[in-house]
Amino acid sequence: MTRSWVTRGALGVLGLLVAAAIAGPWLAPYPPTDVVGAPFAPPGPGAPLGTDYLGGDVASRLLHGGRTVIGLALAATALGLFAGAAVGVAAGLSGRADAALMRPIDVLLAVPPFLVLAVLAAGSGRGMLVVVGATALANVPGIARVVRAAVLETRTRGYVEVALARGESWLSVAGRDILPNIAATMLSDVGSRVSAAIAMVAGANFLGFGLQPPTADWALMVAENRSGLALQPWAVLAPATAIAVLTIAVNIGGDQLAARLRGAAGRRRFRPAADDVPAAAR
Amino acid sequence: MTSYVLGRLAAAAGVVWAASVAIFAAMQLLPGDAVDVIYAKGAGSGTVSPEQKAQLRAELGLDRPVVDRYVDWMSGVLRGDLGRSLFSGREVTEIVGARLPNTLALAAVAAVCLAPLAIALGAWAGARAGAARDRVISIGSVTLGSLPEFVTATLLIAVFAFAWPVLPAVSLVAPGTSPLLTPEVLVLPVVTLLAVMAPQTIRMVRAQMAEAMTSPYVRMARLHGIPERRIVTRHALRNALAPAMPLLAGSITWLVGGIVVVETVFNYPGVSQDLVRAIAQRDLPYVQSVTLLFAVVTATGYLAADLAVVALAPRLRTTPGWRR
Amino acid sequence: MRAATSVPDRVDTRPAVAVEGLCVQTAAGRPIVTDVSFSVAAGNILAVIGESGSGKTTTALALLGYANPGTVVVAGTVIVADRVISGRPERETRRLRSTLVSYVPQDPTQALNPARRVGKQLAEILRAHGHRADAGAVIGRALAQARLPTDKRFLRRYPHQLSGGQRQRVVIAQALLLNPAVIVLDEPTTGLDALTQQEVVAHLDRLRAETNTALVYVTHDVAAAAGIADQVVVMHAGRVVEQGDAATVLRRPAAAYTRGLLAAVPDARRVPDRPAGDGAALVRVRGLTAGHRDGRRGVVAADNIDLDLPAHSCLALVGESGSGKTTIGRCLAGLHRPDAGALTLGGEPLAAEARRRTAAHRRDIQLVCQSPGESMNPRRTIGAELARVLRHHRVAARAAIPGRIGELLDSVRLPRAMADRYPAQMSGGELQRAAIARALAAEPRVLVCDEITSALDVSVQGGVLELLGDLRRERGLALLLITHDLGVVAAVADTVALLRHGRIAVHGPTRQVLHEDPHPLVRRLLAATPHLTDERS
Repeated sequence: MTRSWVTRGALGVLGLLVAAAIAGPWLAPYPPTDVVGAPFAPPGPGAPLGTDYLGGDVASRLLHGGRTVIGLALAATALGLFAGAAVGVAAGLSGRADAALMRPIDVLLAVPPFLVLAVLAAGSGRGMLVVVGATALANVPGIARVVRAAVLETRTRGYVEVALARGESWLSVAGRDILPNIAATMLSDVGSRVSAAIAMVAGANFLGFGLQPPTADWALMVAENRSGLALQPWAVLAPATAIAVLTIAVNIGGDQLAARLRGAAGRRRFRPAADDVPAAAR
Repeated sequence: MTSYVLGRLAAAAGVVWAASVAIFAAMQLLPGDAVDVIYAKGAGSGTVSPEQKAQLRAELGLDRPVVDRYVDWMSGVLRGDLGRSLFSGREVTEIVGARLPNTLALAAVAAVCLAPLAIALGAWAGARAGAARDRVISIGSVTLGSLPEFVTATLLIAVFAFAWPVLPAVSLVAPGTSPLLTPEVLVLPVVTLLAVMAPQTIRMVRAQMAEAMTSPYVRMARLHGIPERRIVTRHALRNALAPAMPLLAGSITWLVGGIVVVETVFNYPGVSQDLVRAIAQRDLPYVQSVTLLFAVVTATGYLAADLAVVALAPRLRTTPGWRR
Repeated sequence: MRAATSVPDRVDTRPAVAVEGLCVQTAAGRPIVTDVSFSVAAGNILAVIGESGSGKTTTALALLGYANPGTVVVAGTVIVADRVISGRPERETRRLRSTLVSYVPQDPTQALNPARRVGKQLAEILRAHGHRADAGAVIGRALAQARLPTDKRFLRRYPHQLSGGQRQRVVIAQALLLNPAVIVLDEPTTGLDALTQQEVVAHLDRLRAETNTALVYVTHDVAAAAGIADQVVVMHAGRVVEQGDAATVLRRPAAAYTRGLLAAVPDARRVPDRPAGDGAALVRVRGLTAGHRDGRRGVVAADNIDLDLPAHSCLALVGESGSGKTTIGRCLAGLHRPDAGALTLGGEPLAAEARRRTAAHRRDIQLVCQSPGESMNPRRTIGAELARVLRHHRVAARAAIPGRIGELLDSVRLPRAMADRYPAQMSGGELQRAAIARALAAEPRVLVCDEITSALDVSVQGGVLELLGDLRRERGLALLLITHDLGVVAAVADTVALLRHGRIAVHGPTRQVLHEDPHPLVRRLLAATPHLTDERS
């Protein structure tokens, strides 16, 4: 099957990249900020991928620069998921919260994430926190709406009503009856969300709104070395390819995870079983 | 129908207004104001006395109440006065005005290519969900759509400007002329934007189309002996497009960010380079006005998509308030 | 294996439809329909009766040379008006559909394309089969036969601008357009109220007389089929169990399955003599008024309702959808806050909202909900759900819980092993039994059952109703049964309250209301309810 082959490939590559990003700093031959040769020197014995615009070792910086890309994107997605789910559950359960929260959420959904980033970066200065905050904020409206819809649908279910009639608290009902049943919906697009978060975080770093040189970061490396693309393509292509492979692997791996979750939720739907034999005929 | 259109117009105006408040609040209320920025930039910030700062604040009108300043700004915007750049001291309208046509030209070409391309590919894939062509398009769009704009642009430049030099790596447009007169400078930027934005729309249209193809009315059309071709074009496509339209409009929100990156990568003479510089320098009046401009463009795009939905889904045309 | 009953009389020399040895499987090879054979003469009505999973719809679609995605016709021939439909390539079968055989779907609301005008959806069928010149006249005739307006304004409407009945007639008009030899009707009356159902059936009966078309009427509703069919095919688990003349099969069924099916059909006219509960009222409802907010408008669902539910008795709340019966049940369970009125339980006042009631009151009233798919949490096993109730109400000590769960499952006649099952691994009937067990876990005095059998097949419904009767006797439960089905009422209720537009229209002992002295409204409902003892002349 092509599908499972693609999935396995994507998950394998993803595992490799994450492992390299985590272990990279220990494997790298040089510290990320050391000058090891002339600027934009081609690959040679000392520097397998050549040097960058300041004469730093591209391979070492590559091994150091994955943590920020993956870490910031994961932090932003987690923050967005948490905030979005909190808003969605509150809006789904309480009419008053719904009115107060969903109007701003609808507006936020219509605002380009780049503008949020631009306004935050201009308003409070550049930095890592601004990038993570803007990326998380870009995720909130979508997640909040999905979760709210799922909560509204789930709360009319018989098992929720019966539990409420039994006198169980909202917290207990949310934990046992609502969250387990909307988890699949909530996580169904987590792959594309992480992938989009990587793209947004990397884009912001590329434009210089987030991390600043001399930090080793894949997106920053592309930005710094762009002017030497003709002289020393490795300094640009290596980090660009790393980001490309990472986002693709996350997206495809996440898609398959989503399909599996949807499948699991689908299998749990009611279907008549063969043992519904007429009572009178038994 | 009329009330629906008016309602959408009011909603769009509401979004723009809310955006203006949010932008203004972020600019004015987040720590550090224009005076701090100017002195931080200027020579010897350590020697500036609080009195000097207070004087500059008074000159710039920053000591007045926030609400008054908002009203000033908005009334200026409504008259077409976007304020002055903190750094160059030039009118924002002047800086933006010279380059905005180039940005709009790029955006328009990308948007005009996007809708037909994405709808055609998405519908073609979705009409035969699970077939080979569907898998190729699905995996291809996941792959392309995952990449950040600057990565796609960089890889395209590496291939088409250096490895196989057929297109310019840098978009040179002589001042006073339009990029539309030198279409070769538009090719790579537009291809980058399409590669990043089209996949989302393709996947959306594909999903809607695949769902429509399994709907009871499509099965019924088959049972009536309607030819498959007509089923796809007359029955499924139309119903698939209505839900995809707002999402197509949603991709405009990504177009805004995409254009800024693409203009930066290709040194394209649009508004983005100034904007990126202004953000880095915290040129508040400039950022504030240009982001508002972008918000207006986005809201207009949404409005257009909403009206397209009304044209495609007759339910909306005849039953007011169907959406809520 | 074919049932060895008599082949239907062929008055006409050649049958309009002949099916021989039809077998349909899933792509994985699981049989759906096995060796089905029957035939129908022109102008006759054949009812294909079966419960869910019997393969009746698959058989019906095979008459149009159609197999649902994922299924394959592996053997058998289908002949319509002397032309072989089966085994042709899709291009050829496409041409035969609508011209030789057409199909009326179960749910017209979904089968009509919401984005296209009615006229277009009719004209397109003619166009697809090469009729262009006389399209206007042909459409006019079909609309007239379907008892629909023929003017331009009607043709310019969209499906959502039509009433449910009109949509149903539009799909019938579509089927009539090209004068096919056979029309297949898939559950055409399911989901309609009794009065509309009766109209549709009468209309179909007239149509076959006018057009001499053979009708294949696919249904799960034995009583509805009895009212109209000339011949009957009874299907179970993909096979024909019995077929033949309608009167013979339905009155003297040969197969055990058919006998069971017929016995399980509740009949509103057969009311056993039951004493009306005459004890003191356990639940007393006085002046209950409750409404919903629909946008800005308020809608009154229940209007000044007075009811008494004596201990150990069963009161049925009957009414069509929107009559307010569910709202009353929800008020009783503390899930809907009434606008006015008082509720008492055993003489003590009941708070409006469940969370303001005493723990004892919350235990005493338990609710069982409508849809088996939604009544149990799909992410929890039945045992976990029962344990949760036992713990919440502190009914059993921790160590005693597993034993209690076993007893509860016993009492609803479910095997004890079901405690480890997830809802998806159970059938609809089993789920409703589990939902009843969950209600019983609280050891209640009153059980509110909201349409708990309406989503079940008739034979499964019979079992659940029987269980309710047993529980009442064994545990002295008082039942409030909410239903739209007079047959169910006749089977279990002591007293009946008939609701109409939020008010009680009729109230009294079941036997009196349904049988001895029916109110005009009840009389109309009864007349429209199909039943088996009635005979077609």
